[in-house]
Amino acid sequence: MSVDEMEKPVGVSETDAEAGGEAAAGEAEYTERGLRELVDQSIIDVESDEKQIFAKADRGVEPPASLGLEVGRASDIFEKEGFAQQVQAMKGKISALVSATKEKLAKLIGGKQGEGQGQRTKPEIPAEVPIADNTVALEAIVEESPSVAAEEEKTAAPEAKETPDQREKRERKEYLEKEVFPKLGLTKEDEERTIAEAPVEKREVAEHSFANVRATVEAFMKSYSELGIVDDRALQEDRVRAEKEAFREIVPKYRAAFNFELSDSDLETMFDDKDGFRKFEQLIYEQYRAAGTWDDDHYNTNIALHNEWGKDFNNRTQDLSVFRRKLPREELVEALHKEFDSVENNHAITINIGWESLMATLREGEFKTVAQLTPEQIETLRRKSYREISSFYLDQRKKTEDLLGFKENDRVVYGALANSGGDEGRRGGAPTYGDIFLEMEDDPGITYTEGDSYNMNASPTQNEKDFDYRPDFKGIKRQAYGKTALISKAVDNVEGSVSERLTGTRAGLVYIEAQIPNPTLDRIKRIRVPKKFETTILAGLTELSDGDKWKEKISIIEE
Amino acid sequence: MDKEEIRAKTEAFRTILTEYGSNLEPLEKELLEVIQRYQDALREEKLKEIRKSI
Repeated sequence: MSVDEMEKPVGVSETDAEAGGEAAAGEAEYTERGLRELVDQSIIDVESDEKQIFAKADRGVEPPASLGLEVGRASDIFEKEGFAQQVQAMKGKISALVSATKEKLAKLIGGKQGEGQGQRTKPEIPAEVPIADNTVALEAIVEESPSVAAEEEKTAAPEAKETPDQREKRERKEYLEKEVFPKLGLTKEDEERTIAEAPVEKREVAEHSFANVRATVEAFMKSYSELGIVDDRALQEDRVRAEKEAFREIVPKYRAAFNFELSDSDLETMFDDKDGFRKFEQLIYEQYRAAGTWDDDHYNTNIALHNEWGKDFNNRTQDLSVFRRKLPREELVEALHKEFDSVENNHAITINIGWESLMATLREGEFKTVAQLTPEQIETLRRKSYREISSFYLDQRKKTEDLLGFKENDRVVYGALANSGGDEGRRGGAPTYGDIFLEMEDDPGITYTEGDSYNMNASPTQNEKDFDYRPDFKGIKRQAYGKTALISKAVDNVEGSVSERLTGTRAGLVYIEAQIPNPTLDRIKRIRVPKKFETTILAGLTELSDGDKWKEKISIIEE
Repeated sequence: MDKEEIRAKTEAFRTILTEYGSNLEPLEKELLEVIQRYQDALREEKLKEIRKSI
């Protein structure tokens, strides 16, 4: 819808105008019916805007066939160079704007967003409804003409207005609420109890963590039992096959266009080579170049044939849907419930740390955040771990912490929610941050995010979640609290094992991040030290006045 | 609804659509810019491929 269209006199139905009402020209005569029709039409238009923009974007994402670039390369560039994420982010923003606008419009005539656009719904609210910055008092339309009321009855029937997508979503939600959430402690009652038990300053976090984690479970079920996840290995194999087939097909045309020496057996070797087609083209070029006969015509012929090969290759690749793998939902739910039981009893809040940082922390008697480090310490960190601590980073980190609900003067130390067994039991939840890990006491102030709160983590489940992508604040819609974090952990564990089983590649989050506000050293339960650091650490502790106290907390991890 | 209410709602309606239009335009532009950058990257890749194969 263009802004021009919005400038037309509104609130006048065409019918009214045609009937010769005063509204036909000049002064607009506002009628309720006219307004309703206008709002209905605008909702349809807004939806149509979204569809058109997305269709345009989707067309743009398809690599132009004329370019002759292999689908595999185009798709790699799209996924790995961040375009996929950016497109998804922008689409998310547009969808959010469209939804919000539809909802505001629907409220004008007493409807609810999602009740079926373009249809009249009876207003429920003889109340004040905020619209943009204005507040308009509305009164219920009590009397309707019998014909309008009958029409509404007809159009309001849920089965008439539910699209297949909406039905699928509703059925999924019903299934989750009945079969999945109760055993995970994700019901409304669980939510109310958790909120009541949470410290006052964490209640808001507790509340939205339930919505977030329900969305995670839903996205997980959708990804793994409905859409299916892409088996990349099979996809690559298919592309290699398609490349080779297209290569075999195009060779006679190269033979017709160029004179070159290549035995049948050498050509067969090239057919078997993953990079054979490029080598084939290179060979022709080099022979011409050696003879001094390569010219623009040869160049153009090569490009044309190369493009033809590219198109043929594209046509020979199978549709992405062929490579999607999924499991029956009952199987997933059983695995999720089982994993949740296991995580509930076997988890730890860990902080991975290097041995030098550990010694500095114990010596100084407090945890320091990166914001408290001296310039020298920042430089050491940069040199040793290649982590850049820029003022931009610190600023963004602070903004993220504000958004996650921490107070201005909170010193947030980052850890992870780890399995207490298996690999994480031996290495901690975030081993890239150090070989040693501390196991911390639980605390009602601790919050969690599914993945790093600062960076986005990509996993099939997280990709399916309905994020409001804001480049600066990435953690909020992945925030979990208390028991809901254990559910996130269980989902991530099951996602890891199921994806590995289905595709041979493990998908999932890097970790469930734990944000620990103002931890004191007496919250350390155990210091887990790999055997190879035992001597160094024990020697270091002898230099501390309270070294003996810390020695008691050391727990060596045998090789 | 009396005339005044309808008039007020119509005003609100205009505000909603004006806000929507002014928010949608930059988002659409930004999305199309991302697509454009992607297409540029594809063309760049194709050039590299041609240079490599010749």
